[in-house]
Amino acid sequence: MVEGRTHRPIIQPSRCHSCDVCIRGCPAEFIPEYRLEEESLRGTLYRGKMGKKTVPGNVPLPPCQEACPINQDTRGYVALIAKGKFKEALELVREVNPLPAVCGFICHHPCEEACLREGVDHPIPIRLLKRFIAEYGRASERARKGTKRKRRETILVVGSGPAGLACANDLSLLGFRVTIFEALPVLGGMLSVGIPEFRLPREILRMEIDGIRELGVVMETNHSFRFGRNGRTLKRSGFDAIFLSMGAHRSSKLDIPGEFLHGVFPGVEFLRDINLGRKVEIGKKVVVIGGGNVAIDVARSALRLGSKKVDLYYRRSRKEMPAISEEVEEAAREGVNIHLLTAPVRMIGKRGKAIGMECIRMRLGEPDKNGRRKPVPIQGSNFKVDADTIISAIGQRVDQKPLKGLEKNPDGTIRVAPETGETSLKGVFAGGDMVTGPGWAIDAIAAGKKGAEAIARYLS
Amino acid sequence: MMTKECKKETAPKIKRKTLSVKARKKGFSPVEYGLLKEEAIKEAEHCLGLRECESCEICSLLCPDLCITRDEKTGEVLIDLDYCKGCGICASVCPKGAIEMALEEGK
Repeated sequence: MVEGRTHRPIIQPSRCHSCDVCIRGCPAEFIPEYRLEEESLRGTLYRGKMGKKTVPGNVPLPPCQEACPINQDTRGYVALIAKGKFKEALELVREVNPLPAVCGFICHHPCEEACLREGVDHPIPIRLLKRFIAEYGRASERARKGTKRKRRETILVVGSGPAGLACANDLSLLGFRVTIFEALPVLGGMLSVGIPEFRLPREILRMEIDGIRELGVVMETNHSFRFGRNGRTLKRSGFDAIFLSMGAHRSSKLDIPGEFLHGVFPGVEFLRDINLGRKVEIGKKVVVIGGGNVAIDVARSALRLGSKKVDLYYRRSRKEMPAISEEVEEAAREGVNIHLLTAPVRMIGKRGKAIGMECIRMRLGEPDKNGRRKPVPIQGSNFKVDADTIISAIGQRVDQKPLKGLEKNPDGTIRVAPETGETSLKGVFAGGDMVTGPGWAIDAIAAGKKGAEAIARYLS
Repeated sequence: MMTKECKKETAPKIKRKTLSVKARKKGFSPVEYGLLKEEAIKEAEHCLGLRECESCEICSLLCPDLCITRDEKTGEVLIDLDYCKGCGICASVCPKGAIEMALEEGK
């Protein structure tokens, strides 16, 4: 309470328009625009790191907010947490993020990398803070009420991964009728069948999906969807617009001899089988190929399934590894042997069963067009390793079977208009991994939100 | 003088709390633990976006000696101590409690 006050403001609900002017103007809550300060510590840290995206008034966004693909007001909810207003913080996150708990567990947190506090001591653990408010709010949060159905149009969302859920959430909040088709028996897409349970507990994911279902979204599992060759699927399906977010669920091939031996598995399929509760055959000596999150997850899952020795081979160095560095550290702590600058040459088999792998050492050459240094094999440095299970996790592709009649890029991803996400078919939009290739959950959420916006504009 | 600064004291990096490596091998239980309420508040307080003084300028409006000004260029709020009589109104009205009254040296 402000001391020295002589009059007390009383709000008259009948006359209040909820314009928020009083809230924004209250000095007790006001955050000043210190990024334009010249001499202060914070002003100094900001210099040279001014964002390009701006809010009205031409004020740059804070770096954490700019780094986030969905531009969450990080500074706002961290400020609310510091004041102990956890429920309000979660509400602020929910304004733009349909899956706060999922992000709290698995986000690769570009916001923390951008955090300027690093110049003082260490970045704010933004991901853990979000996880905290999401878990804290779970007990107190009321069931979200669905908005009134203001629109007659029905929209089909294909795939219930982060992109599909985000799109369905936003469209439902705009008043559309949304149906999700999911080909697998479980909802959540890669969150559910790609990410192992030890990184994202299933009850958390279920809670988030239930929250979206409460908005009135119809979700049908075991319902696959495919495009006919003639491209008239939209009209026939009876929906006014379709958002495709089927993800990239096929493992890329290694293209080396011996890939079809018994005991050689693709990484994503291996994780899918574990997550769906199917039985997987796994030996005592496991070799994993790849340096992404799937490879790390496969290696850590193998240890939990009883493998004694797990070796991971990656052809570039640790710096180039696309996996989240915290997860790589955890994997090393659990006993995964990480071998860098090593690539497989061929699988060695005996009577149709894999018994080992021949590898070659690499060195880093010139950077390619993405800025990653290309590995070059060192001739004559071949060596053999023993293994009874070999799992390759070197990337994922989009399943082409259900997508006839759509224009695609050479790598198999869907070609879309960059601004709207509309595909070559009218009224069909796409987003997520199936457009960008395998990527981060938060990017998929951003694509889903963009798709929802584009669909709303298309239908109005 | 009061400055427009955030908490400058550095804090040691919070250690990630995780399940023991031995317990992890027994199944697929979650590896990482979340933050406790106190830890969350403590960590959030280090955000550079937070500070004590929030430039509401209530103190300068209420100062009977008109000695609180704001440097437009740096954004710093200054108290001209040559003219301040030490009434303490500013300290009592500050919504963030960012002004402290200190005993003058030699008094």
